[in-house]
Amino acid sequence: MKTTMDKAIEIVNLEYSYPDKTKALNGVNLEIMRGESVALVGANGAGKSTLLLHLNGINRGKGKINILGLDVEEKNLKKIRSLVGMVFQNPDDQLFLPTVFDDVSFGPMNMGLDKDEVRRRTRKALEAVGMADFAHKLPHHLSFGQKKRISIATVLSMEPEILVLDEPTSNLDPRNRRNLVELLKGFTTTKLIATHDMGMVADICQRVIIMSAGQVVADGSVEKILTDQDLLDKYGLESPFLDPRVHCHCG
Amino acid sequence: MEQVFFDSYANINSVIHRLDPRVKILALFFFTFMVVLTPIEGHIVRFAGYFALLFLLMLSSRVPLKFIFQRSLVILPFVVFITIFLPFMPNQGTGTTSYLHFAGLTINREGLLFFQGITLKAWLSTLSMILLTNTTKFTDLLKGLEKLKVARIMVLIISFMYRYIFVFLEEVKSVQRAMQARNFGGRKVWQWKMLSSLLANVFLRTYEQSERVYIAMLSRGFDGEIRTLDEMKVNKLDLGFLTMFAVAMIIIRVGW
Repeated sequence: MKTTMDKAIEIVNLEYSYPDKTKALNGVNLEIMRGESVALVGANGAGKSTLLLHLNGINRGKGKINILGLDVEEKNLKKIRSLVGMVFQNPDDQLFLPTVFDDVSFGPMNMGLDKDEVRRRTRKALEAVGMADFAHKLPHHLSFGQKKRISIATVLSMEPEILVLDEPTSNLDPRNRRNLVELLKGFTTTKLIATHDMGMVADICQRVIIMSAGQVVADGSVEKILTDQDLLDKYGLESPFLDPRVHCHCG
Repeated sequence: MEQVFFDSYANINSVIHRLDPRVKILALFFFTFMVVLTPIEGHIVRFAGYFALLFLLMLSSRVPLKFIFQRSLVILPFVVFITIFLPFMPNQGTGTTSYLHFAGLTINREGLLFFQGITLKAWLSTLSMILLTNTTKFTDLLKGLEKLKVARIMVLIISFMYRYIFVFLEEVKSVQRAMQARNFGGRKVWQWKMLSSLLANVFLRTYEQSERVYIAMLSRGFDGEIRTLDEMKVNKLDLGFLTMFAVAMIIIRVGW
Protein backbone atom coordinates (compact mmCIF):
# COMPACT_ATOMS: atom_id res chain seq x y z
CA MET A 1 0.00 0.00 0.00
CA LYS A 2 1.26 3.41 -0.92
CA THR A 3 1.16 6.10 1.75
CA THR A 4 2.00 9.78 1.41
CA MET A 5 5.46 9.04 2.80
CA ASP A 6 6.24 6.90 -0.22
CA LYS A 7 5.58 9.79 -2.55
CA ALA A 8 8.51 11.96 -3.46
CA ILE A 9 6.55 14.32 -5.69
CA GLU A 10 2.82 14.80 -5.95
CA ILE A 11 1.32 17.33 -8.35
CA VAL A 12 -2.42 17.90 -8.55
CA ASN A 13 -4.04 19.91 -11.31
CA LEU A 14 -1.18 22.34 -11.82
CA GLU A 15 -1.82 25.27 -14.11
CA TYR A 16 0.59 28.02 -15.00
CA SER A 17 0.55 30.93 -17.41
CA TYR A 18 3.43 33.18 -18.33
CA PRO A 19 3.08 36.86 -17.51
CA ASP A 20 1.96 37.42 -21.12
CA LYS A 21 -0.98 35.02 -20.49
CA THR A 22 0.40 32.20 -22.64
CA LYS A 23 -0.64 28.95 -21.02
CA ALA A 24 2.43 26.87 -20.22
CA LEU A 25 0.96 24.19 -17.97
CA ASN A 26 -2.57 23.09 -18.47
CA GLY A 27 -3.64 20.84 -15.61
CA VAL A 28 -0.68 18.60 -14.82
CA ASN A 29 -1.25 15.61 -12.54
CA LEU A 30 1.74 13.56 -11.49
CA GLU A 31 2.98 11.26 -8.76
CA ILE A 32 6.55 10.13 -8.38
CA MET A 33 7.55 7.61 -5.75
CA ARG A 34 10.69 7.66 -3.66
CA GLY A 35 13.62 6.07 -5.41
CA GLU A 36 12.04 6.18 -8.84
CA SER A 37 14.05 7.30 -11.83
CA VAL A 38 11.72 9.13 -14.18
CA ALA A 39 12.28 10.70 -17.57
CA LEU A 40 10.30 13.72 -18.66
CA VAL A 41 10.23 13.93 -22.44
CA GLY A 42 8.40 15.95 -25.06
CA ALA A 43 9.02 18.47 -27.82
CA ASN A 44 10.58 21.86 -27.14
CA GLY A 45 7.99 24.15 -25.59
CA ALA A 46 5.93 21.28 -24.16
CA GLY A 47 6.36 22.71 -20.66
CA LYS A 48 9.06 20.43 -19.23
CA SER A 49 11.34 23.14 -17.87
CA THR A 50 8.41 25.17 -16.62
CA LEU A 51 7.17 22.16 -14.72
CA LEU A 52 10.59 21.53 -13.19
CA LEU A 53 10.75 25.12 -11.92
CA HIS A 54 7.57 24.47 -9.96
CA LEU A 55 9.14 21.68 -7.95
CA ASN A 56 11.15 24.04 -5.79
CA GLY A 57 8.78 26.96 -5.92
CA ILE A 58 10.63 29.18 -8.40
CA ASN A 59 7.49 29.24 -10.54
CA ARG A 60 4.24 29.38 -8.61
CA GLY A 61 1.21 28.17 -10.52
CA LYS A 62 -2.34 27.25 -9.55
CA GLY A 63 -2.81 23.78 -8.13
CA LYS A 64 -1.16 21.71 -5.45
CA ILE A 65 2.41 20.44 -5.28
CA ASN A 66 3.71 18.32 -2.47
CA ILE A 67 7.36 17.38 -2.04
CA LEU A 68 8.07 14.59 0.46
CA GLY A 69 5.06 15.57 2.55
CA LEU A 70 5.71 19.32 2.35
CA ASP A 71 3.39 21.59 0.40
CA VAL A 72 5.25 23.96 -1.88
CA GLU A 73 4.46 27.24 -0.19
CA GLU A 74 6.44 30.17 1.14
CA LYS A 75 7.13 28.78 4.59
CA ASN A 76 8.47 25.47 3.28
CA LEU A 77 10.60 26.83 0.45
CA LYS A 78 13.90 26.80 2.31
CA LYS A 79 13.45 23.16 3.30
CA ILE A 80 12.15 22.15 -0.13
CA ARG A 81 15.08 23.77 -1.92
CA SER A 82 17.46 21.65 0.10
CA LEU A 83 15.42 18.51 -0.62
CA VAL A 84 15.16 19.14 -4.35
CA GLY A 85 18.54 19.46 -6.03
CA MET A 86 18.02 21.20 -9.34
CA VAL A 87 20.68 21.12 -12.03
CA PHE A 88 20.12 23.49 -14.92
CA GLN A 89 20.99 22.90 -18.52
CA ASN A 90 23.70 25.53 -18.93
CA PRO A 91 26.59 25.16 -16.47
CA ASP A 92 27.36 28.86 -16.89
CA ASP A 93 24.06 29.53 -15.14
CA GLN A 94 24.72 26.99 -12.45
CA LEU A 95 28.29 28.03 -11.65
CA PHE A 96 28.26 31.69 -10.75
CA LEU A 97 31.03 32.06 -8.18
CA PRO A 98 34.69 32.63 -8.98
CA THR A 99 35.96 29.24 -7.77
CA VAL A 100 34.64 25.70 -7.97
CA PHE A 101 34.99 25.31 -4.22
CA ASP A 102 32.88 28.39 -3.50
CA ASP A 103 30.22 27.20 -5.89
CA VAL A 104 29.94 23.68 -4.48
CA SER A 105 29.84 25.02 -0.92
CA PHE A 106 27.24 27.69 -1.77
CA GLY A 107 24.23 25.41 -1.15
CA PRO A 108 25.45 23.92 2.15
CA MET A 109 26.42 27.39 3.41
CA ASN A 110 22.88 28.60 2.69
CA MET A 111 21.57 25.64 4.67
CA GLY A 112 23.37 27.09 7.67
CA LEU A 113 25.61 24.08 8.26
CA ASP A 114 28.75 24.51 10.29
CA LYS A 115 32.02 25.08 8.48
CA ASP A 116 33.50 21.62 8.95
CA GLU A 117 30.33 19.99 7.67
CA VAL A 118 30.31 22.34 4.65
CA ARG A 119 33.91 21.41 3.89
CA ARG A 120 33.18 17.70 4.28
CA ARG A 121 30.17 17.86 1.97
CA THR A 122 31.97 19.95 -0.61
CA ARG A 123 34.83 17.48 -0.74
CA LYS A 124 32.47 14.52 -0.86
CA ALA A 125 30.37 16.02 -3.67
CA LEU A 126 33.44 16.81 -5.75
CA GLU A 127 34.72 13.28 -5.19
CA ALA A 128 31.36 11.83 -6.21
CA VAL A 129 31.62 13.49 -9.62
CA GLY A 130 35.33 12.75 -9.94
CA MET A 131 36.45 16.38 -9.72
CA ALA A 132 38.17 16.41 -6.33
CA ASP A 133 41.33 17.99 -7.76
CA PHE A 134 39.47 20.93 -9.25
CA ALA A 135 38.28 22.64 -6.05
CA HIS A 136 40.42 25.74 -6.56
CA LYS A 137 40.02 26.08 -10.31
CA LEU A 138 38.11 28.91 -11.89
CA PRO A 139 35.05 27.91 -13.94
CA HIS A 140 36.30 29.62 -17.09
CA HIS A 141 39.35 27.38 -17.06
CA LEU A 142 37.22 24.21 -17.29
CA SER A 143 35.87 22.27 -20.24
CA PHE A 144 32.15 21.98 -20.83
CA GLY A 145 32.06 18.39 -19.60
CA GLN A 146 33.92 19.32 -16.42
CA LYS A 147 31.58 22.24 -15.78
CA LYS A 148 28.64 19.89 -16.22
CA ARG A 149 29.98 17.50 -13.59
CA ILE A 150 30.66 20.31 -11.18
CA SER A 151 27.13 21.62 -11.73
CA ILE A 152 25.91 18.29 -10.41
CA ALA A 153 28.30 18.50 -7.46
CA THR A 154 26.83 21.90 -6.53
CA VAL A 155 23.55 20.19 -5.68
CA LEU A 156 24.97 16.88 -4.40
CA SER A 157 26.67 18.85 -1.64
CA MET A 158 23.21 19.74 -0.34
CA GLU A 159 22.51 15.99 -0.10
CA PRO A 160 19.08 16.30 -1.72
CA GLU A 161 16.41 13.58 -1.63
CA ILE A 162 15.33 14.34 -5.17
CA LEU A 163 17.59 15.13 -8.10
CA VAL A 164 16.02 17.19 -10.85
CA LEU A 165 18.04 17.53 -14.03
CA ASP A 166 17.27 19.62 -17.07
CA GLU A 167 18.95 18.23 -20.20
CA PRO A 168 21.98 16.77 -18.42
CA THR A 169 23.56 15.30 -21.57
CA SER A 170 22.98 18.14 -24.04
CA ASN A 171 26.09 19.40 -25.86
CA LEU A 172 28.31 16.67 -24.46
CA ASP A 173 30.59 14.65 -26.70
CA PRO A 174 29.99 10.86 -26.68
CA ARG A 175 32.65 10.05 -24.08
CA ASN A 176 31.58 12.80 -21.67
CA ARG A 177 27.97 11.83 -22.25
CA ARG A 178 28.72 8.21 -21.43
CA ASN A 179 30.58 9.21 -18.26
CA LEU A 180 27.74 11.43 -17.15
CA VAL A 181 25.14 8.73 -17.78
CA GLU A 182 27.20 6.28 -15.71
CA LEU A 183 27.50 8.89 -12.98
CA LEU A 184 23.74 9.47 -12.87
CA LYS A 185 23.09 5.73 -12.92
CA GLY A 186 25.07 5.43 -9.70
CA PHE A 187 22.83 7.83 -7.76
CA THR A 188 20.12 6.08 -5.80
CA THR A 189 18.05 9.16 -4.99
CA THR A 190 14.77 9.88 -6.69
CA LYS A 191 15.52 11.29 -10.12
CA LEU A 192 13.46 13.37 -12.52
CA ILE A 193 15.24 14.07 -15.78
CA ALA A 194 13.93 16.31 -18.54
CA THR A 195 15.66 15.29 -21.75
CA HIS A 196 15.64 14.55 -25.46
CA ASP A 197 18.30 11.88 -25.01
CA MET A 198 16.23 8.71 -25.38
CA GLY A 199 19.32 6.52 -25.17
CA MET A 200 19.96 7.81 -21.67
CA VAL A 201 16.28 7.35 -20.80
CA ALA A 202 16.47 3.68 -21.78
CA ASP A 203 19.69 3.39 -19.83
CA ILE A 204 18.83 4.88 -16.45
CA CYS A 205 15.08 5.43 -16.14
CA GLN A 206 12.31 3.02 -15.27
CA ARG A 207 9.47 5.28 -16.17
CA VAL A 208 8.75 7.81 -18.90
CA ILE A 209 6.37 10.73 -18.85
CA ILE A 210 5.52 12.45 -22.13
CA MET A 211 4.42 16.05 -22.03
CA SER A 212 2.74 17.96 -24.80
CA ALA A 213 1.13 21.41 -24.78
CA GLY A 214 1.41 21.74 -21.02
CA GLN A 215 -0.12 18.38 -20.18
CA VAL A 216 0.99 14.89 -19.32
CA VAL A 217 -0.13 12.84 -22.32
CA ALA A 218 1.50 9.51 -21.56
CA ASP A 219 3.01 7.90 -18.50
CA GLY A 220 4.33 4.39 -18.29
CA SER A 221 7.29 2.08 -18.02
CA VAL A 222 10.28 2.60 -20.30
CA GLU A 223 9.59 -0.71 -22.07
CA LYS A 224 6.00 0.22 -22.79
CA ILE A 225 6.52 3.83 -23.92
CA LEU A 226 9.73 3.45 -25.89
CA THR A 227 8.37 0.56 -27.94
CA ASP A 228 5.09 2.27 -28.77
CA GLN A 229 6.11 3.69 -32.14
CA ASP A 230 2.73 5.30 -32.85
CA LEU A 231 2.79 7.16 -29.54
CA LEU A 232 6.37 8.36 -30.08
CA ASP A 233 5.57 9.47 -33.63
CA LYS A 234 2.53 11.36 -32.46
CA TYR A 235 4.58 13.50 -30.09
CA GLY A 236 7.58 13.87 -32.34
CA LEU A 237 9.90 11.58 -30.36
CA GLU A 238 12.26 8.83 -31.36
CA SER A 239 12.89 5.44 -29.89
CA PRO A 240 16.51 4.71 -28.95
CA PHE A 241 15.99 1.22 -30.26
CA LEU A 242 16.47 0.92 -33.98
CA ASP A 243 13.46 2.18 -35.86
CA PRO A 244 12.48 -0.65 -38.25
CA ARG A 245 11.79 1.93 -40.94
CA VAL A 246 15.37 3.14 -40.93
CA HIS A 247 17.50 1.20 -43.34
CA CYS A 248 21.21 1.20 -43.27
CA HIS A 249 22.64 1.85 -46.68
CA CYS A 250 26.13 0.91 -45.93
CA GLY A 251 27.79 -1.97 -47.73
CA MET B 1 38.93 29.71 -24.23
CA GLU B 2 41.17 31.27 -21.69
CA GLN B 3 41.45 35.01 -21.89
CA VAL B 4 43.10 36.63 -18.97
CA PHE B 5 43.95 40.23 -19.49
CA PHE B 6 44.36 42.12 -16.28
CA ASP B 7 45.88 39.49 -14.03
CA SER B 8 48.30 37.74 -16.37
CA TYR B 9 51.03 37.44 -13.74
CA ALA B 10 48.86 36.80 -10.69
CA ASN B 11 49.90 33.17 -10.59
CA ILE B 12 53.69 33.52 -10.48
CA ASN B 13 55.50 33.41 -7.16
CA SER B 14 57.36 36.17 -5.34
CA VAL B 15 57.52 37.80 -1.92
CA ILE B 16 54.84 40.24 -2.99
CA HIS B 17 52.63 37.43 -4.30
CA ARG B 18 52.85 35.62 -0.99
CA LEU B 19 51.66 38.57 1.07
CA ASP B 20 48.16 38.45 2.50
CA PRO B 21 45.71 40.09 0.06
CA ARG B 22 44.33 42.28 2.84
CA VAL B 23 47.76 43.68 3.56
CA LYS B 24 48.25 44.48 -0.10
CA ILE B 25 44.84 46.11 -0.43
CA LEU B 26 45.51 48.26 2.64
CA ALA B 27 48.94 49.21 1.32
CA LEU B 28 47.46 50.18 -2.03
CA PHE B 29 44.78 52.23 -0.36
CA PHE B 30 47.32 53.99 1.82
CA PHE B 31 49.59 54.63 -1.15
CA THR B 32 46.80 56.16 -3.24
CA PHE B 33 45.61 58.19 -0.28
CA MET B 34 49.05 59.68 0.34
CA VAL B 35 49.76 60.31 -3.32
CA VAL B 36 46.48 62.10 -3.85
CA LEU B 37 46.90 64.26 -0.75
CA THR B 38 50.43 65.41 -1.58
CA PRO B 39 50.34 68.80 -3.34
CA ILE B 40 52.39 68.84 -6.50
CA GLU B 41 53.83 72.35 -6.24
CA GLY B 42 57.30 72.22 -4.74
CA HIS B 43 56.97 68.53 -3.86
CA ILE B 44 58.09 66.91 -7.04
CA VAL B 45 60.88 65.13 -5.18
CA ARG B 46 58.29 63.42 -2.98
CA PHE B 47 56.58 62.03 -6.05
CA ALA B 48 59.94 60.74 -7.20
CA GLY B 49 60.13 59.03 -3.82
CA TYR B 50 56.69 57.43 -4.21
CA PHE B 51 57.69 56.24 -7.62
CA ALA B 52 60.96 54.81 -6.33
CA LEU B 53 59.14 52.90 -3.60
CA LEU B 54 56.67 51.50 -6.08
CA PHE B 55 59.50 50.63 -8.46
CA LEU B 56 61.20 48.69 -5.69
CA LEU B 57 58.02 46.68 -5.14
CA MET B 58 57.68 46.05 -8.88
CA LEU B 59 61.21 44.70 -9.00
CA SER B 60 60.63 42.35 -6.10
CA SER B 61 57.30 41.17 -7.56
CA ARG B 62 59.07 39.73 -10.65
CA VAL B 63 56.26 40.96 -12.85
CA PRO B 64 57.97 42.20 -16.04
CA LEU B 65 58.39 45.99 -15.82
CA LYS B 66 57.59 46.37 -19.49
CA PHE B 67 54.22 44.71 -18.90
CA ILE B 68 53.35 47.03 -16.01
CA PHE B 69 54.31 50.21 -17.85
CA GLN B 70 52.55 49.16 -21.03
CA ARG B 71 49.41 48.46 -19.06
CA SER B 72 49.56 51.83 -17.34
CA LEU B 73 49.57 53.55 -20.73
CA VAL B 74 46.11 52.14 -21.39
CA ILE B 75 44.63 54.23 -18.59
CA LEU B 76 46.59 57.39 -19.29
CA PRO B 77 44.61 58.60 -22.34
CA PHE B 78 41.41 58.68 -20.27
CA VAL B 79 43.08 60.82 -17.63
CA VAL B 80 44.74 63.10 -20.15
CA PHE B 81 41.49 63.55 -22.02
CA ILE B 82 39.96 65.00 -18.88
CA THR B 83 42.92 67.03 -17.65
CA ILE B 84 44.31 68.34 -20.94
CA PHE B 85 41.92 71.30 -20.93
CA LEU B 86 42.87 72.51 -17.47
CA PRO B 87 45.87 74.63 -18.54
CA PHE B 88 43.68 76.51 -20.99
CA MET B 89 40.91 77.39 -18.56
CA PRO B 90 40.80 80.86 -17.08
CA ASN B 91 41.49 80.96 -13.38
CA GLN B 92 38.38 80.26 -11.32
CA GLY B 93 39.51 81.66 -7.99
CA THR B 94 41.05 84.96 -7.03
CA GLY B 95 43.36 86.24 -9.69
CA THR B 96 46.79 85.51 -8.27
CA THR B 97 47.77 83.36 -11.18
CA SER B 98 50.11 84.15 -14.02
CA TYR B 99 49.62 83.35 -17.63
CA LEU B 100 52.11 82.04 -20.11
CA HIS B 101 51.84 82.79 -23.77
CA PHE B 102 52.97 80.14 -26.12
CA ALA B 103 52.32 79.72 -29.82
CA GLY B 104 49.28 81.93 -29.70
CA LEU B 105 47.79 80.06 -26.75
CA THR B 106 47.26 81.41 -23.32
CA ILE B 107 48.27 78.94 -20.68
CA ASN B 108 47.12 79.25 -17.09
CA ARG B 109 50.03 78.48 -14.81
CA GLU B 110 47.84 77.12 -12.06
CA GLY B 111 45.95 75.00 -14.56
CA LEU B 112 49.23 73.63 -15.83
CA LEU B 113 50.12 72.56 -12.31
CA PHE B 114 46.74 70.90 -11.93
CA PHE B 115 47.28 69.10 -15.18
CA GLN B 116 50.69 67.83 -14.12
CA GLY B 117 49.47 66.91 -10.65
CA ILE B 118 46.37 65.01 -11.63
CA THR B 119 48.07 63.17 -14.45
CA LEU B 120 51.03 62.17 -12.31
CA LYS B 121 48.87 61.10 -9.38
CA ALA B 122 46.55 59.09 -11.64
CA TRP B 123 49.51 57.40 -13.26
CA LEU B 124 51.08 56.45 -9.93
CA SER B 125 47.76 55.08 -8.66
CA THR B 126 47.30 53.13 -11.87
CA LEU B 127 50.74 51.61 -11.55
CA SER B 128 50.06 50.52 -7.99
CA MET B 129 46.72 49.05 -9.04
CA ILE B 130 48.32 47.07 -11.85
CA LEU B 131 50.90 45.80 -9.41
CA LEU B 132 48.20 44.71 -6.99
CA THR B 133 46.07 42.86 -9.56
CA ASN B 134 49.12 41.12 -10.99
CA THR B 135 50.48 39.94 -7.66
CA THR B 136 47.21 38.68 -6.21
CA LYS B 137 44.85 36.03 -7.53
CA PHE B 138 41.56 37.65 -8.31
CA THR B 139 39.64 35.31 -6.05
CA ASP B 140 42.01 36.16 -3.18
CA LEU B 141 41.48 39.82 -3.89
CA LEU B 142 37.74 39.34 -3.55
CA LYS B 143 38.15 37.40 -0.33
CA GLY B 144 40.44 40.12 0.96
CA LEU B 145 37.92 42.84 0.19
CA GLU B 146 35.24 40.78 1.89
CA LYS B 147 37.39 40.28 4.97
CA LEU B 148 38.11 43.99 5.10
CA LYS B 149 34.36 44.50 5.43
CA VAL B 150 33.86 46.11 2.05
CA ALA B 151 30.11 46.09 1.35
CA ARG B 152 29.12 42.54 0.30
CA ILE B 153 27.08 43.80 -2.60
CA MET B 154 30.13 45.53 -4.09
CA VAL B 155 32.29 42.44 -3.72
CA LEU B 156 29.52 40.38 -5.26
CA ILE B 157 29.18 42.69 -8.25
CA ILE B 158 32.93 42.51 -8.90
CA SER B 159 32.86 38.74 -8.48
CA PHE B 160 30.03 38.33 -11.00
CA MET B 161 31.84 40.63 -13.38
CA TYR B 162 34.94 38.48 -13.16
CA ARG B 163 32.97 35.27 -13.56
CA TYR B 164 30.87 36.35 -16.53
CA ILE B 165 33.15 38.63 -18.49
CA PHE B 166 34.66 35.51 -20.05
CA VAL B 167 31.26 34.07 -20.87
CA PHE B 168 30.19 37.25 -22.63
CA LEU B 169 33.46 37.60 -24.49
CA GLU B 170 32.80 34.15 -25.90
CA GLU B 171 29.31 35.23 -26.93
CA VAL B 172 30.56 38.38 -28.62
CA LYS B 173 33.14 36.31 -30.44
CA SER B 174 30.58 33.80 -31.64
CA VAL B 175 28.32 36.58 -32.94
CA GLN B 176 31.33 38.15 -34.65
CA ARG B 177 32.20 34.84 -36.28
CA ALA B 178 28.63 34.47 -37.50
CA MET B 179 28.85 37.96 -39.01
CA GLN B 180 32.19 37.27 -40.65
CA ALA B 181 30.90 33.98 -42.02
CA ARG B 182 28.39 36.02 -44.01
CA ASN B 183 30.97 38.52 -45.25
CA PHE B 184 30.23 41.35 -42.89
CA GLY B 185 31.10 44.53 -44.75
CA GLY B 186 29.43 47.08 -46.96
CA ARG B 187 28.85 50.74 -46.24
CA LYS B 188 30.38 52.12 -43.05
CA VAL B 189 27.13 53.59 -41.73
CA TRP B 190 25.42 50.27 -42.18
CA GLN B 191 28.29 48.51 -40.41
CA TRP B 192 27.94 50.81 -37.42
CA LYS B 193 24.24 50.10 -37.30
CA MET B 194 24.95 46.39 -37.26
CA LEU B 195 27.53 46.79 -34.51
CA SER B 196 25.06 48.69 -32.39
CA SER B 197 22.55 45.90 -32.77
CA LEU B 198 25.28 43.46 -31.79
CA LEU B 199 25.76 45.46 -28.60
CA ALA B 200 22.03 45.44 -27.95
CA ASN B 201 22.02 41.70 -28.53
CA VAL B 202 24.81 41.15 -26.02
CA PHE B 203 23.07 43.37 -23.50
CA LEU B 204 19.87 41.33 -23.82
CA ARG B 205 21.83 38.13 -23.40
CA THR B 206 23.46 39.41 -20.24
CA TYR B 207 20.06 40.35 -18.93
CA GLU B 208 18.60 36.93 -19.66
CA GLN B 209 21.63 35.20 -18.24
CA SER B 210 21.27 37.18 -15.02
CA GLU B 211 17.70 35.92 -14.68
CA ARG B 212 18.80 32.32 -15.14
CA VAL B 213 21.69 32.70 -12.72
CA TYR B 214 19.35 34.19 -10.14
CA ILE B 215 17.00 31.21 -10.52
CA ALA B 216 19.95 28.84 -10.06
CA MET B 217 20.93 30.77 -6.93
CA LEU B 218 17.41 30.62 -5.50
CA SER B 219 17.30 26.89 -6.20
CA ARG B 220 20.24 26.40 -3.90
CA GLY B 221 18.68 28.31 -1.06
CA PHE B 222 19.97 31.83 -1.75
CA ASP B 223 18.23 34.26 0.57
CA GLY B 224 19.99 37.50 -0.24
CA GLU B 225 23.16 36.82 1.69
CA ILE B 226 26.31 35.38 0.19
CA ARG B 227 28.22 33.10 2.49
CA THR B 228 31.60 31.71 1.60
CA LEU B 229 34.19 29.80 3.52
CA ASP B 230 37.68 31.14 3.76
CA GLU B 231 40.80 31.06 5.80
CA MET B 232 43.25 33.87 5.80
CA LYS B 233 46.01 34.38 8.24
CA VAL B 234 48.14 37.45 8.59
CA ASN B 235 51.68 36.45 9.54
CA LYS B 236 54.77 38.32 10.65
CA LEU B 237 55.93 38.92 7.09
CA ASP B 238 52.62 40.61 6.30
CA LEU B 239 52.73 42.85 9.34
CA GLY B 240 56.39 43.63 8.72
CA PHE B 241 55.67 44.61 5.15
CA LEU B 242 52.75 46.82 6.09
CA THR B 243 54.73 48.61 8.80
CA MET B 244 57.76 49.18 6.62
CA PHE B 245 55.63 50.34 3.74
CA ALA B 246 53.70 52.81 5.90
CA VAL B 247 56.89 54.15 7.49
CA ALA B 248 58.53 54.56 4.08
CA MET B 249 55.48 56.41 2.76
CA ILE B 250 55.41 58.76 5.73
CA ILE B 251 59.12 59.46 5.47
CA ILE B 252 58.72 60.29 1.80
CA ARG B 253 55.77 62.53 2.60
CA VAL B 254 57.18 64.58 5.47
CA GLY B 255 60.89 64.08 4.98
CA TRP B 256 63.45 63.47 7.65
